[in-house]
Amino acid sequence: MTTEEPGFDESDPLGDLAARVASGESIDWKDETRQHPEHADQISSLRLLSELSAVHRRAEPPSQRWGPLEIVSPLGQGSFGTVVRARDVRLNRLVALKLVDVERFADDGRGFLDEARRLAKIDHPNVLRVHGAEVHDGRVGIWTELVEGRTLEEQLSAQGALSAREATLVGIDLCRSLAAIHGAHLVHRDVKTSNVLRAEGGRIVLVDFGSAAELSPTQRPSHDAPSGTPHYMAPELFDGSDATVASDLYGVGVVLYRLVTVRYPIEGETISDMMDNHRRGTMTPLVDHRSDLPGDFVALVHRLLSRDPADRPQSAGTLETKLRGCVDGAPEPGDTSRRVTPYWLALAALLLMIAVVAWQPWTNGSPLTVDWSLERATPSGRERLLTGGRVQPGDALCISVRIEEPAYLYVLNEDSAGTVVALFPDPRYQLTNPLPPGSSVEAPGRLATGETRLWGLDDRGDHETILAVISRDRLPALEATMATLGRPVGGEGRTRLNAEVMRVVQSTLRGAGFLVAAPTTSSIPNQLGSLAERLGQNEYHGGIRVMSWTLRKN
Amino acid sequence: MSPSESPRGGSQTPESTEVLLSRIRAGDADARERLIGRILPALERWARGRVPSGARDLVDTDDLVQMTLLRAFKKLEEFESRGPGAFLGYLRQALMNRIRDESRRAKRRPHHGDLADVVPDEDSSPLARAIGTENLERYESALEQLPDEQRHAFMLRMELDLSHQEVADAVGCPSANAARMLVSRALLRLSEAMKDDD
Repeated sequence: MTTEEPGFDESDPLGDLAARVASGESIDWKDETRQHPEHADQISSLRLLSELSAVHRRAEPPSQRWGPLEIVSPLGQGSFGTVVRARDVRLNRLVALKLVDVERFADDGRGFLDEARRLAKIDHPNVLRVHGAEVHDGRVGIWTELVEGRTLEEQLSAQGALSAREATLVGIDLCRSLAAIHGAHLVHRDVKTSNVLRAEGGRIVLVDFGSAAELSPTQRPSHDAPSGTPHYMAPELFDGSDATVASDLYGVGVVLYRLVTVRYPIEGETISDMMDNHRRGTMTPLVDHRSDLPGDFVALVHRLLSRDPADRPQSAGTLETKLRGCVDGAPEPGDTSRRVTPYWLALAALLLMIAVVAWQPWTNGSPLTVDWSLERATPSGRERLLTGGRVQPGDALCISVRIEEPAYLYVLNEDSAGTVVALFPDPRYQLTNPLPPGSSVEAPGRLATGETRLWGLDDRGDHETILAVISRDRLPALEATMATLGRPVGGEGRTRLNAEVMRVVQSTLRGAGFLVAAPTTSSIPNQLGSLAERLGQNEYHGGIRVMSWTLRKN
Repeated sequence: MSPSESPRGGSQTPESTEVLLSRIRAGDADARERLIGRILPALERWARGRVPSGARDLVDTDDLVQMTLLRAFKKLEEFESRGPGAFLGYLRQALMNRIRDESRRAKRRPHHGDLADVVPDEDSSPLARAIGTENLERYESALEQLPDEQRHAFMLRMELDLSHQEVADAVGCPSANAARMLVSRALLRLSEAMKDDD
């Protein structure tokens, strides 16, 4: 690159050309090169620059089309095909689109399209709504409502086993969805935890009709191979029998079994292992995994898993009634000590950990520097909540953290009923521990799908405490106990944080031996608050800082 | 905050970016909205040209632009003494950094096998596809070597598609024609540098 300023002169051919490029004139580049062959190289660079500018001017979101839909982003793999998030451009709404190559069907997908059209007639809150099905560009596609949430399988791997009551409630919704499907003379054929979504807000939705088949009164073999997932397959399907209402209900039995144990009733490495185990009847009784389950629940799941289809409940409706019987006899969540213990364990773990750190003088390095704040989303960005600030129902909150070295963040919330939920870390989000240093990060942040989520406030209760802990080292004991707490989304946790018009009454930063703001004397009898106070009395916390915010009805 | 809302007040004479920035610093929320309305559509277009298709599913481009813009407003004081056009130059750099971060993240992410044929190629942004990755890199490095004033004028005119008058207002040129000369000079210099690098 030359260091001299190139002379600019519009009478100079290059100067003139540059001025015309700057003005956005259309230029005959071949002609320019022909007239000034000595400047061919620079003319060609100018042409690149003008093209670059043109791309900038017209850059629109690129789109891939499939028939009436515009493909937006991948969602995952379903049975047989690919699932993407797409936009129905005519109605301008987002949908989930499943695409399968037409070659994968013996009949060019005609049977699949027929099934999809039949499914489209089902209008039920627990059944994924089918909007349409067509063939374009060699792909058979079925598009449905887009449900944001996570599958029961994802929930299991994130939170572990559910209580019998929670599993039963899921089972009731599954029965309703199957009743609608069976009522349309279809069987689902692939009832499994990864095909059941818990939508944000708690709705249970049965998805993936890739293998749904027409319920044939003549019991003819409808497909050449069993299409279900082996662990969920009823034993008769291994013998070549056709899928039926009874085999779908067997699938519900496996789902219930798995929800409370995170295991399968019949294990096996291969299909032939599993077939052998079915024949031998080597199912581990539920109680061997969990002795705390109610007897009627255990008996019902075992009946669903009967080898003989005739021994299972005969319809989804019958099963629903039996499940309701289980719920009525089961204790409400919160009544049992099982609910309370993990919470106290969390606090105990935190106190213990801080006590340990305080006893280890060598952990006293440079103080862990952190700039954190509770923030409220506003149309123009984020607003830092300070003491005396106001929040109201409908507000969405997040925690913004900036640290200078990698550190682990843990956030808990307690409402006025004393229920504690784990807010962060949360496996559904992209942000994970340790947090990256050097720039502000926002928790909870983005979901794996890329959408930003915040913690919402609703109008229940009269106070909330949010406790955040940041630590130079990972805190496994705290993590283990937090894993037993509920999450702020889903049926078993609360959907949102509670608040009416509340005021941020306390904003105290404690840790590493100093106090930034004096703790407000608070009459709120909550546990996180008292924990925060206890920590405040500790003079020395090593590489740990604790911050708490209390929102109180004004 | 859609582009259609941006021209406010119809016949009103537009204030220069500098004037708006100083009002924003003084806490004028209306000025802030006006500046956002003016530059947001151009920045969104700019970013769409640069976000590789593979990163699109991780981040909404327009969202990324808005976040960068809002963050930049928080740091406004830093631009006080750095001359006209510096704010937009900074925005461009900040956006570029964000886009690079997101692209790296997209590359690290495991793939769904079958998706390759539905969702377009990972690395290529519309710009890279149009002129080639190598040319794009040469362009970026040549751009960095321009004097600040030329670089800002060039970016505003050729990348963000502002008119010569708007460029003049933003960088503090006496007239639209002077801005055009500045952009032309930048073009000559860039084309020279890109040729030399061959």
